[in-house]
Amino acid sequence: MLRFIVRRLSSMVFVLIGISILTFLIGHVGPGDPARMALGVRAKEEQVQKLREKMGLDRPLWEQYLRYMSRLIQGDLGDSLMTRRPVSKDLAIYLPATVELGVTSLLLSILVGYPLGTLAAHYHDSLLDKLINTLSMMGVGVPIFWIGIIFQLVFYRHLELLPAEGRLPVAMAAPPSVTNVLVVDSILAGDMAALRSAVRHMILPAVTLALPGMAYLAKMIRWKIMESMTENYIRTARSKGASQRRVLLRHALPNALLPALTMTGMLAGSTFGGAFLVEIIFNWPGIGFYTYKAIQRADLTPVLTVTIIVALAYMLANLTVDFLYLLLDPRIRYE
Amino acid sequence: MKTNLVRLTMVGLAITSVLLMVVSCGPSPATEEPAAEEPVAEEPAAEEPVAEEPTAEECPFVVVACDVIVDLEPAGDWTMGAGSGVMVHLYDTLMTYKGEDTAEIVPVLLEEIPSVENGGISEDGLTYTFHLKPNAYFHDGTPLDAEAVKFSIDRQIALGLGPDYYWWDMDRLEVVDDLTFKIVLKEPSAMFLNMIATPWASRIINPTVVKEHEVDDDMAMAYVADHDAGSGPYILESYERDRRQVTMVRDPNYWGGWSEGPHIDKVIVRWIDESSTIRSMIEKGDADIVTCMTYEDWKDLGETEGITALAYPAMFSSVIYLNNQEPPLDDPRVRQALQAAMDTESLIEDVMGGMATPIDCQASRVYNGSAPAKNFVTYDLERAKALLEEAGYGDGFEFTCKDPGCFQESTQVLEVWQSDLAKIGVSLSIEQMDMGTFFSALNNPESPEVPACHICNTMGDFPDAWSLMNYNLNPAMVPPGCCNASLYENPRVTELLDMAKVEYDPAKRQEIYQEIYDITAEEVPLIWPFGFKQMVAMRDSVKGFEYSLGLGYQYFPFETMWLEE
Repeated sequence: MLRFIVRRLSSMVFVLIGISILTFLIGHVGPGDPARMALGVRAKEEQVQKLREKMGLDRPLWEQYLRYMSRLIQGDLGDSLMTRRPVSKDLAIYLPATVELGVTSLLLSILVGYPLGTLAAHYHDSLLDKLINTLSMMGVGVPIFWIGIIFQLVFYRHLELLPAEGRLPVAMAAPPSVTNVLVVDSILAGDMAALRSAVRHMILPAVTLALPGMAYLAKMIRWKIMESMTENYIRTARSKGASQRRVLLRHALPNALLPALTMTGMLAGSTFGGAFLVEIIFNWPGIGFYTYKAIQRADLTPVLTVTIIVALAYMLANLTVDFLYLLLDPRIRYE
Repeated sequence: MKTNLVRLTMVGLAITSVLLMVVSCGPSPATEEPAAEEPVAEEPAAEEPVAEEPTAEECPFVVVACDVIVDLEPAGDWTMGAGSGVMVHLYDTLMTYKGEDTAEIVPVLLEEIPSVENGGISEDGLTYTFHLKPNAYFHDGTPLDAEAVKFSIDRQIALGLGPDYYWWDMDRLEVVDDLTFKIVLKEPSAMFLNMIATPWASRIINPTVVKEHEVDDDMAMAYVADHDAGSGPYILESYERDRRQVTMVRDPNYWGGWSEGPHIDKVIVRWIDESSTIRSMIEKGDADIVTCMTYEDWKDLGETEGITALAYPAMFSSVIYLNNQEPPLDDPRVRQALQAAMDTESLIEDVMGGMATPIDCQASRVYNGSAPAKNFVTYDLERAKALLEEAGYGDGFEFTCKDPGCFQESTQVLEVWQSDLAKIGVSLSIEQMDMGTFFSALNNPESPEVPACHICNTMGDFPDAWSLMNYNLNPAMVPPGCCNASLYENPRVTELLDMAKVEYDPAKRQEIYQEIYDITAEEVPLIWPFGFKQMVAMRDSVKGFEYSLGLGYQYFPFETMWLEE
């Protein structure tokens, strides 16, 4: 088991290095002059050149890359030309916001997707099954930005039930920032009004981000359960007198969980990497929006750092899934 | 274990649903009634409650902007974006622009604007003497004197973040006494005051604050990015990057004083990218004033009860650059033909919905000195055909116009033009591309890639026609680095631009401009589809708004505004 962990962690390091080189090369080979974008199109060439020299952008590519990586290893994530601050300071603000949104939406995807898929399988071919299937197809097929805008129109504009954007009401003072995860900070400060507001503000963006995941998981669970129900062990269980409910929950569902868990792991990674559309629509100040602006400005340092973070999130999610396999399936052992 | 997992998820689903219903059905912040005050005499003072949702009395004035405020470094912003619109209230400048349709320079920290007549400008045009008002001070009480001015300008030049450009004509600044300083230029420039009157050039920062918070020779950049160091009518209360908003409070002790009557005590500027969200917020009353909306949204908001939609001429204009050195566009007759094939009236009415203004010289009317050019080529397809025949292109030709998406309607403009060009035998291909890609190629320091044609928007540094003409017609301004993407070069026009720069007499300067307009009307170095209008929408309760052409589309004069009950 220890060898397995060491091997996985080592491979993660190599993958991260590979991703960083690829992202770095793409960022530099691709068009865009970060110094000019930072100073504006009216900046004189002398001003731009001075900034290039100051940021080391006039150095050879390999030197720039090595400089970035050596600083990264020491915990220095570099400076953003866009915000004129260390990237670490920016991430300290934006990353928790994405984590808060991402974790909430992932939990929603799991807590809704799994039961819906199970229900659909239990009541297969019924009206409920068809309804769940239709909703799943919509969740997968309808663009996430469209869903977000519709939610805003319905729940904010017309029903006036939920806020349209942001993390707190405009005039509300935020609780003291400890983690910058507003829900956590509100609880730590004992600020129930802020907690309630933070949760209310999170509902629409979290549900929007969770919908595709819910849909995928529901469909996956339903499909795998239905597949399991044709297996021999199910026939054995039935012949031993097990009820349909017991057969479903004690025998079919556990076997459907493994592939669903794999998908959940992928969802965990993609939730953090793919939140930027939701962040733009709901004005959620997360790393997705931060990165989007950095790409527009050809500001490579934040892009590179966030890419590495998202890659790390994917790999950690997959590692977690691998460990959960051990819990779920006694046949699996890692060497 | 596996069964527990299933049971847990079913329970989790049920709890989640209940929680969502409970939270959703709570009162929304906008409609919550203020909590009734507890009678002080009957109960002991309770612990100070944590922040409750704001009462109606505490509701601040909310502005929704669309730019991302980078930071509040006064020496670092030189756009007309939201950052500029915030900093103009936090930091006083030496002078500023005032006026809705045209812009006049008025003093802020100065007693008066120096001129040759009042002796503020020397006869040779090299030395400017400035006198500060005697009673100005920063928010912490530190006097705002000539040393503070010198400190701020030196700091701006040393940081080199862009706005230092406005001081490039300056040779040195000399402090004469507490309230007097002189600026000596490298060479005379009648445009110098225009340059430093821009919102970005002379924001005066508190030297005490800078020295106190300087770390590792950063001149307090890290501190000032999020904190107040100004003298303006508003004080920065907070800059919450995680909520994308800036909060300012009125300084009741502002050295410039306040007029009688109501004022806005608290302003929150929030930046939001999504136009549908912006629209919803003002419709619901969660925002008091918004910019950056689509024309359709602006029109609909104007028809919404409780909202007023306004439009003002802006300094931005759309422009089509034609590479004057690439055949067949190197022939002025061909360029005239292309201009004669552009139906600007149709573009203004049909594409822009009337939210644009025509241009008949090298600068729209908002620029001081703009006047109709003689022989300006107007829409006339027959004339266009005749010009092409004369130039030897009676059979037409093909060319490509790049569209980097500088403004929303750019592709539509080109498409309308394409349709008219087809009638005279000219085939226009439109190539859309990413803005960053395009400008990087255009400004490549080794080999700038100047296309045959591209469409974008342009704006002068200040509202004088010279600024725009110098950018677009001066051969010293060709890429890389700037703006003359037509690669236009006419020695007489260059000479006229240089003459205008040192001509202090407005009437004589106007004559120089007119000659430039008339020459370029014949040569058509670039084509001007229209000038833009700035759209603003505000709740009817907002009073006292005055648009300032020179300060841009994200500037709102909170000092003169108030909210009616």
